[in-house]
Amino acid sequence: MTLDTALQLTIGGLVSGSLYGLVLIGILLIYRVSRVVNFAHGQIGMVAAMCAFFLARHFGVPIAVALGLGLTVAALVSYLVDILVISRVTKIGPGFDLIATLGVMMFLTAIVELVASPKSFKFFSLGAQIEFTVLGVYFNANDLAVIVTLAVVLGLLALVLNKTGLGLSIRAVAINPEIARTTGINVQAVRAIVWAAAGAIAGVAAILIASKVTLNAFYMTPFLVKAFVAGIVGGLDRFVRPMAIAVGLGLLESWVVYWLGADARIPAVFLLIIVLLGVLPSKYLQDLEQRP
Amino acid sequence: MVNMQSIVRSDVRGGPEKLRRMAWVTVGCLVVFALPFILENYWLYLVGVTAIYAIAGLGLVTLFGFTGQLSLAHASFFGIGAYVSAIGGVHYGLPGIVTLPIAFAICLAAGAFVGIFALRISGLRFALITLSFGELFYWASVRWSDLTGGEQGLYAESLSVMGIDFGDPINAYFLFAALGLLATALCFRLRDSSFGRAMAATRDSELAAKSSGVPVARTRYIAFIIGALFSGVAGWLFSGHVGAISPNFFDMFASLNMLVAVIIGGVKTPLGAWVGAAYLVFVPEFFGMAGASNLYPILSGALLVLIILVVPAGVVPTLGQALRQLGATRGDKQ
Repeated sequence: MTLDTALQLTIGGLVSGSLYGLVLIGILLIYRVSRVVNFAHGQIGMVAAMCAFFLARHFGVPIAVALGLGLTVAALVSYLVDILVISRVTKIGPGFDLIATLGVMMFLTAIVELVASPKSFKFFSLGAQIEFTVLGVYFNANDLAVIVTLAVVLGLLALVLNKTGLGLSIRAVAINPEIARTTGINVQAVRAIVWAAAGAIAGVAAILIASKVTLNAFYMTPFLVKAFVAGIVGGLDRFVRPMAIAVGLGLLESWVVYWLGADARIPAVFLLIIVLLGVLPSKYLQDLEQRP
Repeated sequence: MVNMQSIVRSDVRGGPEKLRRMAWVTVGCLVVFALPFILENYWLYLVGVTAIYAIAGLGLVTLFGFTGQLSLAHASFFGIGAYVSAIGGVHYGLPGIVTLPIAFAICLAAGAFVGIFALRISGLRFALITLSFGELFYWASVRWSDLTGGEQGLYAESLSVMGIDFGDPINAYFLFAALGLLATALCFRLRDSSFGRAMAATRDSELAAKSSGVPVARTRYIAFIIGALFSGVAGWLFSGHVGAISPNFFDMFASLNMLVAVIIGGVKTPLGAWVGAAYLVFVPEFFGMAGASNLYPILSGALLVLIILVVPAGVVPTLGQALRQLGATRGDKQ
């Protein structure tokens, strides 16, 4: 194996890992403020991609505008999911919030299938045709965009969470909504902003993913599953660890596919989860809030 | 004196309560025996499928409803049972009944292995473990196509025991009704046993359970194995009854559907598994008959959300409560 190939594999892995990371960010944000595992997250993004696609293809809206409108719709849908469903779920047992979001996921999938017909479409390539080679490693602008987008989103998020009043409110609500409310924070508004932002980020992720695969009502599922894997193994109440696992999963897949073939991708990922959760010392598996 | 009165009252109430239960059981038996005379063969076949899914659902009720442990591999155990039966018949010419103990043993072993993780982790992480095993099972069932027929799947022969052909819808119906009722009775007994109380304690508060001496991890472990066995036996029945199986019956979405079904029915009661199974089998059928199959998924998602929001305990407990209230107001009037 040459250095070129190694670099190429690493870049490929970084790109898919970044996509998992982008999907994961919204899941983590939502978990922070609502303690809910949002199964519908991927489909909210899918709605953005579908909206953008149909606006541009059938109504002649310029692509950039269509993408922006798609993201707005995703933010709105995400906000509505919180208001109409999540904030009303009475927690009668473990996993019930998950089931409610599962219902939302099925609902969104079915609506998109009904409106868009269960066909697959070719989404806009978003720069995939702009290719260049550096040090014998092949790039295209779309891949670069993915990595840059993740960096920008993470940077913005760090900035907002750590340097602004809004960020302080979000962190307060994440720690304890009741106490946050007594200090005069509008918890509802904070939640609304976080859900909407998460929806928009899901939209960004879904649009980037759509430019790499064929667009249909289900294309987000494998990405959502990987994001969940990273989030749950790494801990949904953390940030750095799950993000690192998300990128690591992308790298792992890329190398496994090279060494063992595309067929080995699924067993490699899921065997790794089983091994990780089976042998990691339990102190690494504790959630932050469970700690004494 | 107040105490005396209440004791007397509760004694009096205990009598009719028992009578009423017997009345319900009698009505149930009558319905079971009447159905074959009312329904056409195709509907009887669907009732059979319902009973099979109900048996699998009972496993999920035990695991999720009683013990509070989420599993996303329930359809995989269903699949193990189904594939053992089909592979045994197709590749090795084994009669159906011989494959039952094999399916049982493999599900026991698989459940015991996957369940080991429940000794260590719980909640979402354990759900992720089950998802991983489920995905591996799905992958294997597609990949090992020499054995499983790959994506196309396998044809399975219908069950036949001691000259009784259960390919005949009426025979099959009675077999599944009997087995389904047996499994339901078993599940009720399990709930009311001391192990059932250990499961409930584990579900409601791990800390409280531990401090009153309930072996939490072991309870979860055993509950997982019980769930796997219910599902495996149901899967074994499924392949003989439906006649053709393919990996799609046993993937992650199938597991999720089973979960959705028992939640709609009511996770904490064995009867919920029946309502859930009936929902899984009959509702798509009705939509198909109305020529609106494409509306079913939308309704399904919306209904799930509504159930969680409005009657989170599920249909059966809510109906039961409504009936009891009705009875109480009528009693007051008398």
